[in-house]
This record gives sequence, C-alpha cells and structure tokens, in this order.
Amino acid sequence: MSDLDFALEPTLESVVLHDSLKWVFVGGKGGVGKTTTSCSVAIQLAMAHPAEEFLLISTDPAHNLSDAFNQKFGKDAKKVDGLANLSCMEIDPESGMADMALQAQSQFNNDPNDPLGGMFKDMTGSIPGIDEALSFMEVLKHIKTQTAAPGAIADVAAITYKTIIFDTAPTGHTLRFLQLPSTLEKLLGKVQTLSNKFAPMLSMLGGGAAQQQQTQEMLAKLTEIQSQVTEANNQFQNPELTTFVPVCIAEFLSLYETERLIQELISYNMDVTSIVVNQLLFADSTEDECKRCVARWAMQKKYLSQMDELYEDYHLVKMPLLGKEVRGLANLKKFSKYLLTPYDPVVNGGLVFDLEDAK
Amino acid sequence: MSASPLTSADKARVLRERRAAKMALGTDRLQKILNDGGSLKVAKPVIEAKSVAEAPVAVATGSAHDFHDDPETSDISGHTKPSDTELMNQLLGSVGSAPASAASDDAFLGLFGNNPEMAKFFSADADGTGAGGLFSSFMNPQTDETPIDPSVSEEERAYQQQLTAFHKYNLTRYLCVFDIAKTVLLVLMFGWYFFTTDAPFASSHRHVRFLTDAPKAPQVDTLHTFHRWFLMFELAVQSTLYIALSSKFDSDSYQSDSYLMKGLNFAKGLGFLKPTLVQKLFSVVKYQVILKSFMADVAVLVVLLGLWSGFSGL
Repeated sequence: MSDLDFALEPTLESVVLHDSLKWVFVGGKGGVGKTTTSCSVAIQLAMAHPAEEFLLISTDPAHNLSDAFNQKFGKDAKKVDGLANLSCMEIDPESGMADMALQAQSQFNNDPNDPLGGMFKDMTGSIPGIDEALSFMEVLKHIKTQTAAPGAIADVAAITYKTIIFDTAPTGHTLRFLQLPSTLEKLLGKVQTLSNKFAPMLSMLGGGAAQQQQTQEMLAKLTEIQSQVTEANNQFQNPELTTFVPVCIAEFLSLYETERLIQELISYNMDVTSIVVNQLLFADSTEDECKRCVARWAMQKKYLSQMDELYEDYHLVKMPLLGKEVRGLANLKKFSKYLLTPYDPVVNGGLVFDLEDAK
Repeated sequence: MSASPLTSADKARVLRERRAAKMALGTDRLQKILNDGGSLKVAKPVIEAKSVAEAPVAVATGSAHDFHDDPETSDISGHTKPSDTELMNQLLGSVGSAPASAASDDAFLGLFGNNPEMAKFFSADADGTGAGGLFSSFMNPQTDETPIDPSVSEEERAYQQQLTAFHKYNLTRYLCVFDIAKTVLLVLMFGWYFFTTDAPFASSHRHVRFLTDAPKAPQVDTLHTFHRWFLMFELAVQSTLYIALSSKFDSDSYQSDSYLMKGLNFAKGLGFLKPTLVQKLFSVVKYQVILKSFMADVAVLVVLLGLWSGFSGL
C-alpha cells in the first residue's frame, strides 16, 4: 500500500479535532437531518474543547434549534442548558431589520412616528435573500470581534468563539448565502470606485460641511465593511478555517443534489472533507423482521455503494435512523457520539430504542 | 526504498487535489448518478466549464473516464498553488479589468431578487471596460454603445470598433451627399417656381387680388400652390431616404448614436419611464433621421423665402 492510498475514517474527527477551524457549515436538502447533525457537531466540539466557546447559528428561516434542544433561543446568543460552552442563536429577519431601521432612524431622523420607518420595515422584510444577508451580517460582526485588538470592542459582552457552526437552510438558500461575500465584495468595490469618481462633484454641489462629513463617515463605514467582507471571503475559502459538511440520505434525489452541492462548493473554493449519510436503517434480513425496513435497507445499500465509489476521498459518516426523535441535549449527546465512532448496528444497535421521550 | 511518510498537511493537500480533480468531471458524475438511478433527465453542468478548467489542479482530460479507475496521475512537483489574488480573480473577475464571470453575474441577479434590470445596472464595470450595461453607458456616454462581450479578445474588439467607425463614416458620407443633392433640388425647384410665376406671393383669394397689383385671372399660381409642390417634393425625398437607409444600413447604426435613445434607455433602466411608454417613444424616435431631414428642408425654404422677399423688395 503506497503512501497515497489513504484509509479515510468514516467519522467527523477531522472536523471536531481540527484545531484551527473557525467556521463549520452543515447543509443539504430539506429533511435529511441538517439540524440534528449541526447540533451533534456543535455538541461534540463543545465536549472536545471544554475551555473554548462555541456558537451554533441557525440561518434557516424555519428555525429548528429551539425544538432540537427543547429550549427557546432567540436572536441573541444564549447558552445551552447543560453545556456551558455552547451557545445557540436563531437569526430573526424581522427583528434584525427593525433594529437596522431603528438605528437608521436615530442617526438620520429622530421622529419615532416617521411613516417611512414602517414602510422601510415592510419593504425590506420581504426582500429575497434578506435572511442570508442578515446571517452574513452576523458573520461580519464576529469577524470584527475576532480581528479587533483586545479591549477595542465597546460591547463588553462580545465573546470570541473558537468555532461557529451554521445550521443552514436547504441548499438553494445556503448557496446564495455563500455567494454573498464575493457578491458584496464586488459591489462594495464598485461603490468605492463610483464614490471616488463622484466625490468631487458631490462636494461641488454643496450641502455644507456637516453633509460632507456625513458623506465621509459613510464612505469610511463602507470601507470598513468592505475589508470585513474581504476577510470573510478569505476565511471561507481557507480550508484551515472553514469546512462544509453536507448531510444527505441514501436516496437518489438526495445523492444527486449532494453531488451538485459539492461541485458548486468546490467552485467557490470552499473545503468539503466529510459527508454525513443519515437515516440509515441497517436492517439486515437475518436479524430484522420488518419486511419494509429490509426492503428499504436494500435500496439504501445500493446508493451507499455508489457513495462509497463517488466519495472515496471523503470521510463518509453513516448515521442510523433511530426509533425516536433526536431531541433534547441528552438524546443529542447519545446520537452525536457516533459522529466520532463509526456506528456498528450489531454492537450499538441498542441506541435505536434507547432515546428518552421528547418532552 | 519507500519515500518518507506524508505529513497530515500533505495528506490533506493531496486529498483536496484528488477531490478537485474528480469534481472537475462535473457533468459526467451527475449523468452517472442519473443513469444509475434510472432517471430520464440529462445532467446540466453546475458551473461553467471554463471555471472548472481554471481550478488549480490537474484535470483528467481527453477520453471518457471511468469512476472505477484511479484518477490520472499528474506531476505536481512543479505545480505552484495560485496566490490568494489569483484565486479571488478566478472567483470574482477583477474589478476594473477582467470581465465578470457568469457565476458572479448570476450572484448579482440573486442579490437583487432576480431583477435583471437592477443586476445589469451594477454588473457593468464602472470604468466601462467590463461587460456593457446601463451603468457603463451612463459613466461613459461618448463611448460606443455596443456592449463588450467578455469572451472577445482585444484585437477582435479593436477590429469591431474600427468597423463600427467605418460604418458610421459611410453613413455620414451618404447622408451628406443626399442632403447636398436634396438641397440643390429644392433650390432649383424654388427658383423655377418663383422665376416662372407672375406673382408668387399673390393671395389665393380673387377678391383680395383685386385690391392689389396681382393678376386678376380667376386662377393663379400662389404661395399656396408652392406649398403643395414642396410637400410632394418632401414626401418623395424622405420616402427615398428612408428606403435607402433601410436597405443600405442597419437601423442600429443610424439610431444608436442618438442621445435621445440613450437617455430613454437610461430612464427606463432607472424606472422613471414605463417600458411600454419607452417602446412607443422608440417607435417614434427611430424616424428621427427623416424628421431631421424634413426640418432642415423647412429651414432652407424659410431662408430662401426670406432672401427672395428681401431682394424682390416686397
């Protein structure tokens, strides 16, 4: 066996035990178990590095983190009960836009009854991509925290998280989110170029020193955002800092979409090293009396063998379909263990019916 | 003697290169999945072929590649990893120089909620050297209207520009010759009419003529008659001009230079005018060459009448 024939373990050890990872995206088609997997990854990361802080953000407009942990989360990071170094956040576009409108109002027009404020909120709340934009703004905030000098951040509650895990929306939304850094960088570059061209004309048109100062502040802010966006772009394309974990099931459509997803991620220079195949039945005919499960397992095995061929250079993690919902910290801990240790249906088969009832 | 074992960083790098090399097969892999799944669909490429080919790894080329085979080995000893700047340029296209890739244009489309007018507004390079668009025509109103195709080389572009300039020169020369000929005919017609008519400025009403020195005959040729001659002349001349322009020249070449057309396009792009109204205005504006020619003849006529009245002492 030559040095180039690597045996890749079917686990997520390369993700959980990786020292330098800052961003972990978990995504895939709807209903494959993204939230369960992202929660499991976050839990394992938190348990592997108890001295570090981790943050799990849901960018899916149909948030599920609260249901997964049986605990209410909101737009502000909140610690998970029972796991002190893991926090969760569900980004809410409506309140995010309300905050922005409030900020803009206080800066430019202090009239709380300004009808334009309400119109702004109504309009922007329905813009396609607004969820992704707000999630990305959260990313920029954390980049700012990470790159700022100690003590430079005014917000004393700002925490520097070792790794931020994203429970992403179904594939299309996520790809749009991942395009944002490149798109924004180009857009901001053009805005800068235009502002440089028009600055002399604008100053000629007058508006006074206060107006010019406001313009200067706005341009300075744009420059700052541009550098943060560039930094985000660089980090997302650095395999030492960012990885994407696609989640799929052993079915035709899921396999096809996963392949398309990975091809598109690679075109964005985003690193993909591991794939999670979820909801596997492991129903061997000799041991299982359920004919449906046996038939379905036979179908899954066909696609699994295809995946073994297609993804021989990836860590292909095979996770079982359990008898109950994987909800609550205790159940998630039991389930997430098999992200690091390959699931053996013979040895670990007891897990299928070992979960606590969801409350 | 075996080579020294690879470090984990080397292993990771080799694995990344393998993955990228296999993913470069792109549509083939997708088609295999579809065939194995018994689907009737034909796989569409996820990304443009050129952006896959630009990936900084050795790509399996040439004949059909079976998934069961190992990827073709390539000598990576001399291969250098592209710099961050090169990777960024591959992903984005440089601002202000290389044209945007289809992927980033689509991203613009997505960013603006699939509004193609807004995406076009921003996807044009502000310096006008990228893909053409509304914004580039606003920034550089003097430059050629023809949008620049990013797949066209510099030489081709220069050739196209020279060809366009040549067409414009031809059109200008044609219009000049036509205008000169038309003006000469108009002057001759004017001269023939006024030198052969007894009282060219007489009233067409007989009872008014009785009050003056004008001929008292029941019917005389007057200015009213000349106007009819003039209108018939214009009808013939302008129709000839329109037919000649339509047959000899592409309508874009004698319409696209118009600031009026550019202004209407820009107003439409910004949403100041409805597209249906702009289309109606276009259908009027496209006859502007004819209108200009007619107005020029009217101006010549006014000058001639003024000169005649001055010299004839009316």
